[in-house]
Amino acid sequence: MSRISASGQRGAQSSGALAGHVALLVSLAPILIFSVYPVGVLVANSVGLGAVRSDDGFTLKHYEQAITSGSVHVALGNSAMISLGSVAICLAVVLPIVLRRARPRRRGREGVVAVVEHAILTAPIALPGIIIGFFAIVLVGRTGLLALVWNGFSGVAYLFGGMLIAYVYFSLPRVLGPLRAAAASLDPALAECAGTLGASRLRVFATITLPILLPAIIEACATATAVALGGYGTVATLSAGVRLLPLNVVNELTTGYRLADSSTLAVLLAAIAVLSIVSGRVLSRFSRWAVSRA
Amino acid sequence: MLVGLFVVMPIAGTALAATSVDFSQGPWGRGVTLDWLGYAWAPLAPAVARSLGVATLVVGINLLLGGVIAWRIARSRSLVSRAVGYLVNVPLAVPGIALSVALVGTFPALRPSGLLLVMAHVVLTLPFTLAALVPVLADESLRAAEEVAASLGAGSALVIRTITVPACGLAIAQSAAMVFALSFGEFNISFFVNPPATPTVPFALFDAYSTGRLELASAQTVIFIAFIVPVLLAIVSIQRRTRRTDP
Amino acid sequence: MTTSALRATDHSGLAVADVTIRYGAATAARRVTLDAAAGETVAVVGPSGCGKSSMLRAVAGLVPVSEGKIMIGGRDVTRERPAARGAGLVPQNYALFPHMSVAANVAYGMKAHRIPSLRRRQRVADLLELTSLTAFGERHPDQLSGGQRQRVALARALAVEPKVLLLDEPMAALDPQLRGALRRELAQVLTATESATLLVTHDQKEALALGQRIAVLRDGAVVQFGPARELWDDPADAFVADFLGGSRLEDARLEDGHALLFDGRWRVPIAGLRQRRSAHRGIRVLLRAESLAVHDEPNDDGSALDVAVVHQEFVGDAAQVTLRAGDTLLVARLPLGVRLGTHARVSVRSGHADLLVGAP
Repeated sequence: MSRISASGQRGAQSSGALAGHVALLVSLAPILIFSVYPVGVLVANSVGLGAVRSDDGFTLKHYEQAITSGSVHVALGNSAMISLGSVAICLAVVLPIVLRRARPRRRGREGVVAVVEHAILTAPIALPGIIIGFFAIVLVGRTGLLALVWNGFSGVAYLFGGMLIAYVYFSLPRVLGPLRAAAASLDPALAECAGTLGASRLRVFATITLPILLPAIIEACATATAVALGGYGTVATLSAGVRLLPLNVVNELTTGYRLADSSTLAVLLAAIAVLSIVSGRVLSRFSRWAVSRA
Repeated sequence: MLVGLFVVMPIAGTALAATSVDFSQGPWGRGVTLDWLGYAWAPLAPAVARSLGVATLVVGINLLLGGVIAWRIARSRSLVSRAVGYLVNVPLAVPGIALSVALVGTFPALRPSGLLLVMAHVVLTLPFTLAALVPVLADESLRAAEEVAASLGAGSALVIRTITVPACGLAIAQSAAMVFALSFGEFNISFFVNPPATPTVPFALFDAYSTGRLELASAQTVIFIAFIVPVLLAIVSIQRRTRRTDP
Repeated sequence: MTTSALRATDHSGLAVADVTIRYGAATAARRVTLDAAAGETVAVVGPSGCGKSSMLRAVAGLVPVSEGKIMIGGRDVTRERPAARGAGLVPQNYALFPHMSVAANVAYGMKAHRIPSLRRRQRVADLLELTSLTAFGERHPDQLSGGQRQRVALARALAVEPKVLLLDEPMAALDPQLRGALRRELAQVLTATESATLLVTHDQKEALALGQRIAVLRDGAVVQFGPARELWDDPADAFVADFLGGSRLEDARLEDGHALLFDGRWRVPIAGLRQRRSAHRGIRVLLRAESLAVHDEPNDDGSALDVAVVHQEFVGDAAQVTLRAGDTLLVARLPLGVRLGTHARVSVRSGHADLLVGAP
């Protein structure tokens, strides 16, 4: 490249870069104003510094209240059990499906059938949580469909078990999607090769497939747990039943506009969700490291 | 197969309830009827129109802003663009209901106009657009094609119009469909920011769930699902097409 | 024939008898029969899509066989699981286990076979030594070069002391510049093993260099199977001649001291041809690049053939010309400095082409 053309190009590039920076700034501004900034305000509100300025400035009294509140304890415990439990069930159901798919492709299963099958398994991701809650009412509500088959199903929607199943429905595509992608990127030759070397199918699973997929599994589960934890729609429809943390966030605001208390619970909810995601990342990295050491 | 049944059964049950004269008497109790669907449509129609409008607007804004941001993230490896990547993903980590409280606490004045709702949806759906667009834009062969076009004398606007955008076609279609579906059914982040007098479809549904008859609520749900199914099929078929052209 | 039959009854190697492989309606291999004795390397060669990879995967047990039998070490393994066959597979992309060190990769099969750890460690050390990987035992696959990966895959397959070693396009994943050197290294390791080796490749150079015997496959069927030299000297048909040696095999008719080629348009004096008995039917002339002389002066005795000049290219010590006679393309070498017009004449250089005489 000659010197003259190089300098000419550099000039063009730097003006292009400037335009790029300006464009980025202009597009980013509305996003940050409506996401990062409100989160900052939310935190400020929860400590008495934001829109709802408390008389004595900075305060942690809302957090104190939240942490010592019995109803928050119950809701937090339920939320943790429901989100972790539903994701664990999803994993147990989804893992065999995903691994079966990942095996050397069988011919003749492409086409319309596969699209419909994929669409069915992906469907719940496009359904808002409220509808999934409503599904629970239709099937196992007080006059639900399954309640007609066996009376024991009546009202299960409002019990822990019913709520758990509703959240399994909610989490299913959120666990399935990332795992399917991870399994698709797994080279089928690895398992084949291990097989020819004398490893049984169980051994291939334990020593090849599972260790390689483990980081992706951990990360997908942690993210799905965070999403289930924060999911409000399902529990909103079933609010007559088991109390979950998002209900408390909403109640503080709908029953007498207590913005500071609601903000505090929202911050706690977000913190737990973020903690779940971050610990998923960390565990996933750690598992990759540990597997390669073993 | 069993999992498929688990997914389909509630949808079928809801359809059953929506076409039963009296569902408390069992499936198709006291006969089959389409009346509930008719009753459901009248009050739901304005909400559907609003939701379609909001979703379309959100898709437009999303692609415009998301396109620029994705382009910058994909083409520069600087610390700034990586930081931008993290910041934009904030709504993925923070639960919608928490963001909803944050938004209404920050911009209460923007709520009645609906602006807050639209922006909330844009913020929420942007990470999906970026996830689809960034890998395509970062692709080496696309950049090579752009350089060739530029070396043949095409200006940058022409390069973007004739090379970059067509290459992103599938990714754009996929994010448009995904964003549309997400916005159309969004409930959590909308909870405190939607204009109370003019509800979107999910709020009309929620209202029916808390106050209406089971058959009527089912009918409204069926209508909602009917709107979402074509979008879903579009998403799935696009996904399969991208996977096929990928390797 | 007799040697091949003897080998088929040899109990220590591999025998594939009348094997047919079908995928749905498509047939990947049709009644394939071949064998490899212990310590021998057999190369299966053919254009892509000829069914050679399916053959190898069938021996490994990774695709089911529709008809026929596969014997390994004298045992019928046609219906056995891959794990129980005693075959060591080196797949095309090597498929090294990415989460394990080189040493753990090599030890994998021995662990599956529950070989005690002391012997295992000793054997891993031996194999790393054999493949010049001793310094890399603790590395992970992503820290290795292509050639090193190939050797890890080889060591991993050899570790289980397989009766049959299966190599699927072992050079395909490597840079072309490195292949020559790595082929020599591979040949050394192969001579050191006692396994029967089945090597699948689309590269005839690799097949000739590594295979003691070669099977040429086309459209799922074996066209010819025998020692490398035999295929080179006496190809079964024009396809084998072209695929292995880039040469032309033309049917001929003998008439008063001449071999008549191209429907009598070309009369080649028999005196100038090396005569050889052929195992295949008919009378044929094998023409290689060095068999032909090209000139442009007219010649009326019919011993030269009129040809059109299609292409000339410089190949270092000479120029290579592509010529067309009717619808046959001939390749010849031309001294540097000679330029041809659009048309020329070719004759056979005395003593440089073969007359293959088979049963009538």
